[in-house]
Amino acid sequence: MLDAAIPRQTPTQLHELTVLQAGALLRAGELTSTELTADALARIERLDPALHAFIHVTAEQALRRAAQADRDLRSGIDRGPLHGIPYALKDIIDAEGVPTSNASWLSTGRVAGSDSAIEGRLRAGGGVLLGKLTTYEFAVGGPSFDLPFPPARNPWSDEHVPSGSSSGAGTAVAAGLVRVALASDTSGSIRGPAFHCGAVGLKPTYGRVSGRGAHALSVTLDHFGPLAWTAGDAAAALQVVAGADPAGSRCADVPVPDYLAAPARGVAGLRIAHSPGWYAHDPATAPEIVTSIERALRVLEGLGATVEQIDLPPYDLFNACGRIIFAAEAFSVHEEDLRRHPRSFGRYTYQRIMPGAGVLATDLLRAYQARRRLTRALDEAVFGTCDVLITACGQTTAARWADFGADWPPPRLASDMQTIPFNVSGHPAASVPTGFAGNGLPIGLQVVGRAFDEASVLRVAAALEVELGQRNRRPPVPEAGRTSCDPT
Amino acid sequence: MGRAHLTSVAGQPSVDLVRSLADAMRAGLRSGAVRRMIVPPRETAEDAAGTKFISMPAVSPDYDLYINKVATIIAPDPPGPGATVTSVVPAFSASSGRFLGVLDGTVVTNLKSAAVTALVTDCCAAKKSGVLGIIGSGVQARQQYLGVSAVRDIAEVRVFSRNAANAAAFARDITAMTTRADAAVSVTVCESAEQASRGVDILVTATTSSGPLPISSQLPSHVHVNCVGAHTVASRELAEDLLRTSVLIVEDRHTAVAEAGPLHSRAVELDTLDTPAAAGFDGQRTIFSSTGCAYLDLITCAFLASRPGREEDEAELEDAAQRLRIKVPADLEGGVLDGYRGLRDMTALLRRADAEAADEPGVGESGGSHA
Repeated sequence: MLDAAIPRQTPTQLHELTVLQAGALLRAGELTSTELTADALARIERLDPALHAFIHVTAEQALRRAAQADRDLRSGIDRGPLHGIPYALKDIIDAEGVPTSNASWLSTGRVAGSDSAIEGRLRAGGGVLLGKLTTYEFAVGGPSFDLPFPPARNPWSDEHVPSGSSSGAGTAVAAGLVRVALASDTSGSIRGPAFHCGAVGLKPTYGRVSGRGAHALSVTLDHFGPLAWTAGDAAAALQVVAGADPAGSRCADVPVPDYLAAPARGVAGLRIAHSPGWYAHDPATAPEIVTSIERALRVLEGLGATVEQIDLPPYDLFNACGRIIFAAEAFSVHEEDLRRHPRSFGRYTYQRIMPGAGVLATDLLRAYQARRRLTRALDEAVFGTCDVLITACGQTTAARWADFGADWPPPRLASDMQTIPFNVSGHPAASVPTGFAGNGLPIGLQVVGRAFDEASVLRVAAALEVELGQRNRRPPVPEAGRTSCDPT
Repeated sequence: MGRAHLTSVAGQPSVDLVRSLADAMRAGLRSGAVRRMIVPPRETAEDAAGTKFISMPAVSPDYDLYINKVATIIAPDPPGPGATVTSVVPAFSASSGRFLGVLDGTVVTNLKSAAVTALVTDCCAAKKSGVLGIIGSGVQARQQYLGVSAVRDIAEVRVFSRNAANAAAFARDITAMTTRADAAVSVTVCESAEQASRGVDILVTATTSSGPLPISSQLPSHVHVNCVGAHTVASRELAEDLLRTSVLIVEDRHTAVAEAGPLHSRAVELDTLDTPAAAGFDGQRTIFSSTGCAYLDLITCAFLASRPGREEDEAELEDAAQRLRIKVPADLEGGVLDGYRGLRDMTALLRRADAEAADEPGVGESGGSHA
């Protein structure tokens, strides 16, 4: 057992420092980025053989960038909130000179010729890339064993999956291998692993963060954002990667506010919408999740927010809309490889993408129209009178490895996330930890904001983190060589 | 295209159809649509000759459907097994009252029975269940085999029926339904209910017996039983002690208590099976004490009415693949088709919603914050 019950306010090990704490020490000259990076690399070397969070570790490059960050700070150059801070990228996001595997046989050996927009901003912001993180193949599929790399493990339990597709990000952050990971979320791929690994996962507004240079899955549903241990760390990462990208056709030119200030603003005066209709009476929802959301609402009321119960448009319509768009767009991305190299896909991936071949243009257009209606209805139902919406994120704790067979279909539990509506609508949404279920696995809730108002989402996340999030409770990280979660 | 572990024979629904309907039932339970249905108690009138006239209505705002399965049951003369059942299911729009059509009650009942068995067995039976005992050899026994096979890889089936010829015919049908070259099913006709049930992982009772069957006292502690045959408020095909010491599952508790006795007052309903509470059933003996309930008929009707045949789906997807010059590997066809059928359900849902929504000018992918 590592790190249990160490209060965040008094970290005793480097990996426990938040971005802001580490940044303060770097700027005060009490810590160097090189020390911070070397510590992270040593922790990865020690723990990752059992966790499989990383596909590729860029140790030498990281130490070079850390040394440069130290030199810059000594010269009075401060590149921003992630200056000198180690981070990692989901392995669908390009970093120049580093392989992007997409966790697929189809991409093995491919080395990125240039930085993605995200990596470009992080590099310019003085961040230190530790490496590339495990993902489901092309950010889809499932935790498969027929891919070039083994699936990441949930540090909270040998028997349970970390969820996906940003599985390595969830695992690495929860295990303290890295404070911040940047990942993608097409139907819940940031929020799912954050939920099941007890971290904060923020899917920003569609277009807030450029996806240029990241492998597309479903171009109108793909979102990019941070997965971090704390709301403050997520805010710091978002501050760096958010903003217009003239070279990115789907990135919005909307001013970026001061996210770093958001967590300290509290929730007094915030108007919070709550709609239990999607989950509270669904027998698939674990009762502990319902009660944890109710408790969170009471906490927020106690902090000066007001809570109003509202009705949302039917969940099934959001889901249908998202699934159809996803299927058609994902098929269009992979059509050529499906034709030429069908056996190079993992079985899960192939069987998830190929059905999109049958989506008619009329049905896709109908889904796009439905998206407009649903988004408008959501705006009217929630954001006409309220600042944020609180709803369920996952309906159960993490699925078990034993539920995943070698063949299709994946278990139903794997899809018990209520995240896709906000990929359809594009609203910012975060998975925020609220504690632990009786089986010891993390649970949480989802906070949704107005378009481009990630700041309010972060305010709520930070408030709940202080009251409920138990950020000082870290998982009992497995040591190398443990293989008890092998589902075979 | 078209991978199926079992072939369809003699008017049987296919195993894939059973799986799909089981998923639809699960979705109806999970979404709360079942709880929102109006399901009055079924009405049975009986004349002096013993002929029964039955009415089983259900109304669902979610499915926009009102159905009423109406049936006649002509008792055999002389008394015994082999009643003649005739049934139809008229269906109406619940919102407009419009008449939608009539479904064959036998098709609805058979498919429903197999699917609900698949649903319950999948939730309750041990994952590695390989030995199935079936007591009975009639239509219901066949649906039960289909339902169990849809969710478990059954390697051995033991059949017992009072009518040995019927049992042998049933065994031949099972063999004919099994086409898996890599997992042949061994079918044995047993000489007693005790032999057919001893040590099995899953047991089916589908008989007209008015009292407990003489099954083995050596049922494993993990056994799951689908008890779907005759019942009265005073008895089922299983001994009261067995019912009392097992986890009982029913479609609807009120119906079960009213028709199969007060022992069912502690039974759990189907919607519990897909919840974390069901994890507590692991390793326990479970009995699906089925009495039927019209809400499952309604979901079955909605399923049948809204779906083209599997063959049509296969043809559509195959056409699309050919048009795009893509050859789907044979071992992945089943999963691809399952995924496509899921998308068909989604498109049907959006089409219905679209029809209800006001026309809007302009068509585009952007909405809300989408750039």
